[in-house]
Amino acid sequence: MRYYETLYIVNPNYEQERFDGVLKTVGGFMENEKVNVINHHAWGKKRLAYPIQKHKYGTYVLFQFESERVDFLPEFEQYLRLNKAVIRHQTVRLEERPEIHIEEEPIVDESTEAESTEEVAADTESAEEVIAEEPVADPTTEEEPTEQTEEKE
Amino acid sequence: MAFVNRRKYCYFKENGITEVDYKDVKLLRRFITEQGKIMPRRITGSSAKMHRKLVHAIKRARNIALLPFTNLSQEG
Repeated sequence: MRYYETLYIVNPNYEQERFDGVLKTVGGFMENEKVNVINHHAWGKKRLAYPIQKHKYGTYVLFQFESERVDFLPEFEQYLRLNKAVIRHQTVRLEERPEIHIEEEPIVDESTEAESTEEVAADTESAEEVIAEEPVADPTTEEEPTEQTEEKE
Repeated sequence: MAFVNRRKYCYFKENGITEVDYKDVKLLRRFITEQGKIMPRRITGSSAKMHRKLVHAIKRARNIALLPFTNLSQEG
C-alpha cells in the first residue's frame, strides 16, 4: 500500500458552499478511482508566501489517501491542473500511513498572519491551540508525514 | 569577540528530530534568512544528513507557497 498526500490551494474568493463543492468533487474523483481516502480537510485561509495568479490568500486543503495502484495519479494531477478552483497543488508520497485527522479542529483563520517573515509568533500560537484542543490525538500528528518521495506537479 | 562563544550544534539532534516535514512552516522558518534564502550549514550547524532533508522540505514548502522563494517581491 502506498500513501500519498496532496496539498492544494483553492481560490480564496469562493464562498463556503462553493468551496465545499470543490472538496466534494475532488473527493468524488478519488471515489471513482476506488482510492481509500484517509484525510481530507481544510486548513483554512492563509496568506500565500508569494502571489499565485494574483491571489494573495489561498485556502489550503490537505488530502491524504492510500492506494495499491498508481495509474490514476497522472489523471488526478491533470484533473487538479485543469480545475479552475485549484490554484496550486502538490502531491508527495508518504513513507508511513498518516494518522487520521480529528474533525473537531476549528478552522483557524490565519489571513492576518505572516505580514513579514518574523511573524512566526501567530503561527506558533495557532499550532499550539490545535494540539491543545485535540487531547485524543497523538502529539506527533503535526510531524507525522515526513519522509516523502517526490511526485510534483 | 563575536566568534568566541559561538557554539555550533545541530538543532535537529538537540531536539531529537529525525524527519523534516514541509508543512511545518514554523520549523522551516528558523532555517531561512529574511530574504527567504536557505541558511548554509556553516551557520546553522546542522548535520549534513539533516540539512539535506531540510533543504528538500524548504523547496517543497516553496512550491506550495508556504515559504517565499524570495522576499523582494513582497510588499508586506
